[in-house]
Amino acid sequence: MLLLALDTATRVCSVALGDERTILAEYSLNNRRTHSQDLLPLIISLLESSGIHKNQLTGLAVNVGPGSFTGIRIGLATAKGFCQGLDIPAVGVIGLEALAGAAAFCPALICPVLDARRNQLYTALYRGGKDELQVLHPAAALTLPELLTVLNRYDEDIIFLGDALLSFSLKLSSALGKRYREPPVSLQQNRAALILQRGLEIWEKKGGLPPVALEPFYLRLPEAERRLRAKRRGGK
Amino acid sequence: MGQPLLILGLETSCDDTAAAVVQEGRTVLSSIVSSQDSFHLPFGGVVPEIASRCHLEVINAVLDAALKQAGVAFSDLGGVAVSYGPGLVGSLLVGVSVAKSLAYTLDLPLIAVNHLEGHIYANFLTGAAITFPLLSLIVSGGHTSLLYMEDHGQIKVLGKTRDDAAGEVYDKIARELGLGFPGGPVLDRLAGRGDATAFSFPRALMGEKGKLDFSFSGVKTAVLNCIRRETEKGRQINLADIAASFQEAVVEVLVGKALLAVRQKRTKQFLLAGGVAANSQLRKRLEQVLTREGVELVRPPVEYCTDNGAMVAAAGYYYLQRGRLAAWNLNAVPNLGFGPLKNK
Ligand SMILES: [Zn+2]
Repeated sequence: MLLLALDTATRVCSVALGDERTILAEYSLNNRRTHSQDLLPLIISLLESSGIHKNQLTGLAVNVGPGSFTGIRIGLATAKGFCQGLDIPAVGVIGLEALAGAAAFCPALICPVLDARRNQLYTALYRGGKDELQVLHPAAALTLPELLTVLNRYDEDIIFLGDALLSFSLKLSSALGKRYREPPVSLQQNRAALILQRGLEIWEKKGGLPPVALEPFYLRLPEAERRLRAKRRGGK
Repeated sequence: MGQPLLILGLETSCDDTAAAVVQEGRTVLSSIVSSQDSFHLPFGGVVPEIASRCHLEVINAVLDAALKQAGVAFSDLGGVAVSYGPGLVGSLLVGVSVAKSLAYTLDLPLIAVNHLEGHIYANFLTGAAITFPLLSLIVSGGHTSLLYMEDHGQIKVLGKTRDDAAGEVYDKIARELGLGFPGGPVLDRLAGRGDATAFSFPRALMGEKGKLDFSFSGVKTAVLNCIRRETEKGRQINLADIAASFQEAVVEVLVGKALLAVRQKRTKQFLLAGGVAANSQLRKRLEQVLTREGVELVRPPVEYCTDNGAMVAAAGYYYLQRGRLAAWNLNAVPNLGFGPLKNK
């Protein structure tokens, strides 16, 4: 089973190709350019340099979020066109689960954190060390105090990953002291190999979906809708 | 002769998700438009983030429907054309990303079409013979431009709006009058029953000799102030009269500038384009004036005035004929102007 994996939900634009046993190729860019320019050329050179023809692909795995709304849509729209064009199925992968996969073998708590702006983090809490990640807190957009409330229910070490460490690592480590654990930078960032790995797990259990069923996981309403709902609740 | 060339046209630059299959740049085999109006209605205008989300949600189904209606498969296509600007960046990105991966996976040429040029090419779907050089007036919710086209791909902007687009003002005033969103067509019908001389609204930039630019923010403010004034005085507002007087002010400016352009350029044809090209009063008045000048007015069929995939496919066909293809790093260009392929 040969999967192409895409991840454009954060600053990183990453593509990977592989099967159950091998990552055949992976390209990642963290160049602050718009992913819409880089994504398809990266896919094309990934396939060319691994000597794989696009028609050999079994399917596609894509990071459906959370993350940048625009980034998520570039990945999903590319995936949708790709799968419809080739008539192959796809799996949507929740980016936080994929990211936690980098530390899943550790018998510890794993807390992926992505920068959600507006003083929030896209985050979740898992327990590693078993065959399957155990979900202790589902994906959510939380403020730092809200996240700390969740984390303080446990007194184990917590491994943090994700791009929010760039701005939150000091705050987290000073709040958690010795329980704060941080892997090397190479394991902190989003990358498509992690989407591939999680995608294969999902594929094995549930199979792929037609592209029309591929749905984004924004975790947040559009700002305008949020304001409208707040106004209606306010009884106006 | 080989097979007729079929182009798939994709359009997601604002709030309509559209796909179409057009044969030889002229014959529409299918045209599917999925409107998002009901999603934007509670906000009284297009919300960019909601528009982007809606495009992504329906794009596969819209594509499927366009193929099915045309009775063709992907393998029958000869190219994939997409609007890459101007428009809302988040909306454009959905169409551009889908078009790129479709073209790549199907081994088809990728054609990046200027959305405004697309509107002009809706006129090629009428069956009328189009002869260059020609003049074109694009009037829509996002744009008001007067263009001179020497040939395919050779476009000179003679004038454009310095502030609001005409269609945008239509929608804003319709909203103020409680006509819903988008209110342009409702306002047009309402105006038909009113007295166009009841109120006098400003005609901006008409005095500037030979200048072909437009400005509609003045008439917008005047109409909105008028509605407020009348309401404050507790008077029953005659909606039809306001609509008619407003429409008169806008149409007079559009027709006046069109006439100026015709007298400068002396083309044989004048192409009307854009959502407001469906406006009955504008069509009628422009026709009268142009006929007197011996110029033929060409207008798109009403269903191809507003955003659609067929116009993109038609424009794409002529781009392909000239070999103007896009690269795989194509990006959306929200403020795209006319000129060579832009890819930054
Ligand atoms: Zn348009």
